[in-house]
Amino acid sequence: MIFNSFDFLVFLPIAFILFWSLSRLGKNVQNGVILALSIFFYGYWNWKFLGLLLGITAITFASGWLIGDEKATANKKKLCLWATLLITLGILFVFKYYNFFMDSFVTVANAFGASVLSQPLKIILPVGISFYIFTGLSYVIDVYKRRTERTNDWLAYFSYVTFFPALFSGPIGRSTTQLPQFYKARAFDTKNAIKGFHWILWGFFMKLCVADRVGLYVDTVYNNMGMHNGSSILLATFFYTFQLYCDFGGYSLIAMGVAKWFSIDLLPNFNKPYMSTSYSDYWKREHMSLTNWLMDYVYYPMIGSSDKLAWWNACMIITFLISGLWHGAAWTFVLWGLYQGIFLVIDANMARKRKMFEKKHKLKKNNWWLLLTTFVTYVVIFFGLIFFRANTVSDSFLAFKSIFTSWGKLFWDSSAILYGMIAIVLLMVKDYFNEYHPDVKFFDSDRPLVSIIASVLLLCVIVLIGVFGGGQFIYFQF
Amino acid sequence: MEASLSISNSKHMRKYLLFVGYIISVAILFFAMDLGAGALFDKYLFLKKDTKMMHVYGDKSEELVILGASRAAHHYIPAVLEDSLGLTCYNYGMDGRNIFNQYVVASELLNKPQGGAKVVILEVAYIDVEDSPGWNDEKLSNLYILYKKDANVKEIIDGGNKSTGLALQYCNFFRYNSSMLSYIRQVMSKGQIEDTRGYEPLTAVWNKDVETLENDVNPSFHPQKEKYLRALIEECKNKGVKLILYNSPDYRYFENHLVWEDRITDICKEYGIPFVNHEHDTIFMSHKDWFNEPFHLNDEGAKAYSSLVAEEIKDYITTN
Repeated sequence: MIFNSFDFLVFLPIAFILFWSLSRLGKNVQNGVILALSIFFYGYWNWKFLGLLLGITAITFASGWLIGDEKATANKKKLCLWATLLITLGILFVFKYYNFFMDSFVTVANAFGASVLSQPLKIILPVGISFYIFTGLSYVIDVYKRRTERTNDWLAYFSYVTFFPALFSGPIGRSTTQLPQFYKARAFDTKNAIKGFHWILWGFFMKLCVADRVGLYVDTVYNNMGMHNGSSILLATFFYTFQLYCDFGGYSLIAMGVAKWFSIDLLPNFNKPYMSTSYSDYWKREHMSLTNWLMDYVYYPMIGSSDKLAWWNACMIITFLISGLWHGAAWTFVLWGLYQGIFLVIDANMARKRKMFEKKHKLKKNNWWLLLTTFVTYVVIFFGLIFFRANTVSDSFLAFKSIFTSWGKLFWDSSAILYGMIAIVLLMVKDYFNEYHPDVKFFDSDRPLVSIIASVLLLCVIVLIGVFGGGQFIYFQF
Repeated sequence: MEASLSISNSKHMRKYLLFVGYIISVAILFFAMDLGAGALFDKYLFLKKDTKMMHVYGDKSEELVILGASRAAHHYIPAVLEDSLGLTCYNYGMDGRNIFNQYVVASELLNKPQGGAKVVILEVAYIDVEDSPGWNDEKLSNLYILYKKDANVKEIIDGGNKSTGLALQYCNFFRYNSSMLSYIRQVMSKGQIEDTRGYEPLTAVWNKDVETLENDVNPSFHPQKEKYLRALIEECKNKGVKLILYNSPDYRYFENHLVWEDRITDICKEYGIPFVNHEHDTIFMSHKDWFNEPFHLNDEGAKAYSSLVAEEIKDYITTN
């Protein structure tokens, strides 16, 4: 069941009424209802993978329980942690990476004269597998590192890991902030529920009016790269930057809004990424739950106690190579990860000089400087996403070549371009006001009439220019 | 503690009702706007008689009609065909449409009370038979506006996603989904399409060499599309209308054999109707300057192509 489906529109109110009707029976019933709803939600997509979801949840729960046992020896805890990492990441590897590494190995072996046949596994990737494995692992590692207490409340833990709004595409849960919410009974809060409603509406706007709309143009151009000139590829890449932001940002907002209806706060995932004024700023705003996860569980442990700048830089690049591979088993994603790592290293190494320069010339609040740094940051993001979207590595280089050498008449798809541009302008106006004038409020206005009218107008825009019956969310494949 | 959480608890019930009240207020205001603005759209956009789609439902009829997507709209010049054949002609090709739209248009044109078309040219492409994401049900939004007006449209849309039909039945705004600007543009460009009798010339000149592109070796077909292609053919046969399927020049080669062309050929053979394939016509392949881009001819190319088609049809009409 996906958010942008009629089925979900029916499911959500039923789930909401069921949950709050039974909520008087206490925390365990609340968690039980959440778990049942989540199982139904996931099983509705493919019941055959329910065993995997519940199995991984059970493994991480048991592992946390064993590691958190005060009587357990350090060796036993370590063994348990590594076994859990091996099992869960092994499962992820088989489903997501086996074919990629096997194909790459066969290609290299054949290039050296060996005659090796590729035997790909014919399996489908279970939706959300990376997300629920990472959520479960964060708990196990946090218990091992003593950042959180082990829990004996299996029902709370299961409803936390399988919580349906975040099950397919996150935000990736963190045991330190999110799990404790399941330990106590939740009470209904009108303000939060209305806020959730606004998030759901805006999330649908991002998904249906921006992502799915411009996606029609992006797919046409990127799937037939040879047919299009640099101008069309440039526009398609511009659209893709918004498609990716709004597809995943929209999903995350809907997930957060739905979670609010059940009085659960999910971690924020996007914070106006195209208002960033530096590359490190961008990565504090973009896919925050994954970036923070990788920083906490990969980057910082890898740095350890080293104070060597070169090692810090290498760790940053390695972390983003892993991020690239997390996004997809393809060399395009590896290149994207490398690109991110390199630019983050450049940004981090220039940060001090930049700060001094800004201080010297009093640029911190200079509008032109803000505009320039926002634009330069966007340009770097823009070129990086060519690797992310291109179907093959050679396509990505062809895109770079065409953008700089082959200008011409735009491939014209009037509905994608016109409606897409209208939606992007609306999106950026809202992001601009949220960033620089947060006191200007429409949806969250204290005056109910303003808030209601804003919601109705947004609903009209969604119905008029949204793409319905469109594709799934991009991040489902990750 | 637990009792305080119950929605039967008056304090919590109030909070719950406040939220439901908010949602209901949004819904009521939305449907009020939908009712009012929907009527305004109908009056000032849809009911204007100068849009190309409205020509289908107008009181004029032509003897020769061109159907298809953008390649039809940009490749067939009615004036050239009229001069050569002595038949009145109109180009009903519409950007971004597929066989569902072509079937609806054909049904309407063949059943006009004042007498329908006698010859139909249907420009076909892979999107008319293949299951091609982005070109399947997504393209039905062009027909939303006709949901309550045309029984064929209702049948096609209801045959796809049931919830779409439900939304079209009760939401006026939704009938204008993805097409509002197009209606505004057509109303603003009053008369231009009428001057060229539906033909939409392109003016760019392609200057790159022909390329070979990757394509699917074994594409899957869309059963609903084939159903309506067959329905269109049968409707023409039942009315005694001469139908010719065309595939106009394309300045590209593909790595693998185009299976969709075999499918069209088989269907045409089954019904005993011609399928004229000019995809890689040598004259056009040696004239890249006749192309706007590889998939569409420019005005010069359209003139040459329309003359070629006129000659072919003349033979077909006189010998059949």
